[in-house]
Amino acid sequence: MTRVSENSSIHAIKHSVGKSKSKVEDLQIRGSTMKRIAKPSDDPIGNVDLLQIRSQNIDAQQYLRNVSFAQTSLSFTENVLEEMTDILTKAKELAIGQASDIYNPEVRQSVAKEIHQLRMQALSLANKRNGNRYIFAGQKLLTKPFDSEGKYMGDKNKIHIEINKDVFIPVNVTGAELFFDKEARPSSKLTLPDDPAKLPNPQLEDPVALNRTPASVAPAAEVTNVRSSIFDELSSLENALITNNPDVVQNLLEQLDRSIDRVIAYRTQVGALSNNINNAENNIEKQKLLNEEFKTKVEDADVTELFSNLQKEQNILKATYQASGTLMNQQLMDFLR
Amino acid sequence: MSADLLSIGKSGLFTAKKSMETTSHNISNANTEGFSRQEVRTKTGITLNEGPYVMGTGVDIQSIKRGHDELVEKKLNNSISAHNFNEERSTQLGHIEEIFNEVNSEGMNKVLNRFFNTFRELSNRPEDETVRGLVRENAKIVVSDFHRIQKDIDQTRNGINKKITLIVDDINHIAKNISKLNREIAANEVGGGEANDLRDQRDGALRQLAEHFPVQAYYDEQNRFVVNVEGMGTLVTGDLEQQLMVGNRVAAEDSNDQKPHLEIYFKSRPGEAISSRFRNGTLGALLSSRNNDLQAVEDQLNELAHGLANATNAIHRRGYANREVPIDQTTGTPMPGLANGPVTGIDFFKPPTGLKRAAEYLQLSDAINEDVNNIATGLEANAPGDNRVAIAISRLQHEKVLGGGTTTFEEHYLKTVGNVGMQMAKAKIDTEQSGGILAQAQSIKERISGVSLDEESANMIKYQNAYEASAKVIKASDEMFKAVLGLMS
Repeated sequence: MTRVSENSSIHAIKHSVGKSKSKVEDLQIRGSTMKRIAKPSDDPIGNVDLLQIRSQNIDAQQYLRNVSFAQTSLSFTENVLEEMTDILTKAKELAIGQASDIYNPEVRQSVAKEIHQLRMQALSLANKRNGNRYIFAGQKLLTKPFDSEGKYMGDKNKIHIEINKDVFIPVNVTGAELFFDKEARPSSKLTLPDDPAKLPNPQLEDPVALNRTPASVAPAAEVTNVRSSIFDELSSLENALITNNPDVVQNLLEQLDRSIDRVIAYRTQVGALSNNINNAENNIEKQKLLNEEFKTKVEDADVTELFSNLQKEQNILKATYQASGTLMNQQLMDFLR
Repeated sequence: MSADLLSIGKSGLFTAKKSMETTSHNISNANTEGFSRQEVRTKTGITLNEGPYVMGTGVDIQSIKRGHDELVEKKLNNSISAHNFNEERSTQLGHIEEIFNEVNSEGMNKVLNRFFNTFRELSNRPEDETVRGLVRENAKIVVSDFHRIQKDIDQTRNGINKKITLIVDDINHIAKNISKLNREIAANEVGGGEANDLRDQRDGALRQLAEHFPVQAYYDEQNRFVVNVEGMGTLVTGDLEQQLMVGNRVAAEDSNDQKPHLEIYFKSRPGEAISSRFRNGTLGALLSSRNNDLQAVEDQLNELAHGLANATNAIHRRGYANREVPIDQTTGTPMPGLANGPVTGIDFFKPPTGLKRAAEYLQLSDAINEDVNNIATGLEANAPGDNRVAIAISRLQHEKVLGGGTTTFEEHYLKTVGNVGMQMAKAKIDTEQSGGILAQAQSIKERISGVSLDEESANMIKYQNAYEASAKVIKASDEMFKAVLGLMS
C-alpha cells in the first residue's frame, strides 16, 4: 500500500493545477491576440519563415517602385522616339520632293529653312529631359548630351534597373546608338529574347560586372565624331538644298531611311520592354499574394482549433479542481466524532 | 508478583505516553518545511527466567525514528538540480529571445532589409541627393540596431554575473550552516540515537544547495558528514567548510577585449577557476547560458557586423563620389585627390579592426557622415547616372557573403534567431519535463517522510486506548495487592 501524506497529496494537486492553469493561460493569450506566434520559441521555424516573408514583401514593394520608375522612363523615351520618327519622316518626305529637278532654287531655299527648323526640333528632342535627367546622355545624365553642332557629350553606357530579383532591364537609349549611323542596327543588348515573356538574361550582361574598365572620354569622342549623325544628315540636306544640289539630296535619302528605321526599331523595342516590365509587375504582385496567404497561415491562430483547445483545457482544469476538492476536504477526524 | 505487574503496567503507560507525544509532535509539525514524521519503535522488555517459564517484563522504547530514505533523498536532490538548471536556463534564454523578438516590432532583419532596399532606390535615382540622405539615415539605423543588440547582450551578461555573485554568497552561507549543524548533530548523538529534527534541517540545507549545483553528501570513514560539489572537491567536511568566491579574469589572448570574465574559485585556491565544472543547477544554467548561448549569439552578431561592413566597403571603395572629377587629358583616366572632397576609394562603414566587438564598434565612416555626396553610386567618374555600385550593394542582400560564401546576411541572422527560438522551445519542454519529475520525486519523498493526519488520528486513538488499558493494568494490580492485604487483616 502506498502511503499518502498531507504534503504528498498537496504537491500532486499543486502540480496538476499549475500545469493545467498555465496551459489555459497560454491559450488565452493566443485567443486575445489571435496570433499563433508571440515569441520566436512559440514556433522557431514559423518565426523564421515569417521574417523571411516580411523581407520578401519589403523587397517586393521596392521592386514595384523600381518597376514604376523603369516604366516611366521607358514611356517617356518612347514618346520622344515617336516624335523623332515624325520629324525624320517629314524630313524624308521633303527630301524626296526635292530629289528631282522639278523645283527651282527659291523653293529649295524655303524648304532648306524648313529642314533647319526640323533639325532644331530634333536637337531639342535629343536634349530632352525627364525631370532633371537628360534621357539620351547615357550615364552622364546631368550633362546636356548634344551641342548646337550635334556633337555628342554623353557616354555610351546603359542604365540598368533591377525590376525583380536578378532581373535587369535597360531603361535608356544612348544618344550614341540612336543618333549615329555607325551603329545602324540596335546593339545586341537591346535585342529581344525569342520568348517575349522572358526578360533579358542578366547573366549575359550583368551591369554590376565590376571589372568593366571606365570608358575613357577622348577616344569615345573621336569615334562618334567620324560617324554621321542624324544632325549631320539634316545639316547636309539643308546645305544641299541651299546649294541647290539635288544629287546630294538623292544620296542622303538612303541615309535618312536608315536613320528612320533605326529610330523605329528602338521605339518598338522600348515598347516591348514596357510589356516585359508589366509581366514582371504581375509576377511580383502574384508573389505578394502568395506570401500574404502563407504569412496568414504561419502567423494567425486557427480560431476553431484554438477555442476548442481552450474549452478542453478549461474542462480539464475544472475537473482537477473538483478532484482536489474531494481529496482535501475530508479527513478521518470527520468520522471519529 | 504484583510489583512485576505494576512495573509492566508502568512501562506500557510510559510508552503509550511517549508515543502520544511523538504523534502530537508529528501533528503540530505537519506543515513544517522539511519535517519528517517520527515514529516510536518499541521492543519487549528483558525476559526473566522463572524456573520452567520465561516471562516477559513489559515494553521498552527502542528508538524514535524518522521516516527517511537516503536513496529517495538523493533522487530528490538530483531532480531539484536538474529542474533548477532548466528553469534558470529558460529564464536566461527568455532574455536572449526577447532581444531577437521582432514578431510584433521592428528588429535587425527589417532594418537590414531596408538598408539594402534604400540602395535599390538609390539605383533608380543616383543623382538625387534626397535619396542619398535616405541611404545614410537607414545606414545609421542599422548601426544603432547593432548597438542596441550588443547593449542588450551586455546587460544580460551583467545580470547573469550579478546573479552568480549572489548565489556564491548564498552557497557560502548554506555551507556555514551545514557545518554548524554537523557540530550540533555530533554533540546530540553522543549518547546514541538520532537527532531527527536537526537532521531534517541539514537535509533541507542540502536541498537548498542542490538548487544551485548537484550535491553529493555522505559520511566518510571517520564518520564525518561530507558535502561534495560534484566533480571539484569538498565544500563541507564535518564541522569545517570551504568558502567560494568570485573574481574577474581577463584572458591574456584577448587583452584588448576588456570585458571581464566572472569566474568562481575556492577561496583557498584562487588560481584555479572552477566555474566550468558546474554542470547543473542554477549555477550550471547561468554559466552555460553565458558561456555558450549568449556567447554564440554575440559571435554571430559580430560576424554579421564585420561581414556587412567589409562587403559594403569593398564595393563602395571602387565607386566614385558624386562630384566633378578632373580627368587627366593625356591618359584619359580620373585624377585622384581633390580639394573639395575625396573621389574614390571611400569606405562606407569604418573598416572593422577585427571580428571581436565588430558590432559594438560599427560606425559610418567619417566621409559618409560628413557629406552624402561621398556615397558612391557609379563605377565611372563624372557619370551621375551610373548606378552600378548602388545595385551591387543592394545585391549584397541576396549574396552568400558570410560563412565562407555559404550564407547571406539574412540567412545568417535568421539562423541565429531560429537557433535562439529553438533552444528556448527546447528549454521550455525540458523545464516542463523536469518539473514533472521533480513533483514526482517530491511526492515520493512526502509519502515516506510526510505526516498523514489520518494516520496520526488513528495512532492517537490507538495510543489513547493503550494508555487506558495500561492504567487498567495498574489498577488491577492495585486491587490484587489490596485483596492480598485484606486476607491478612
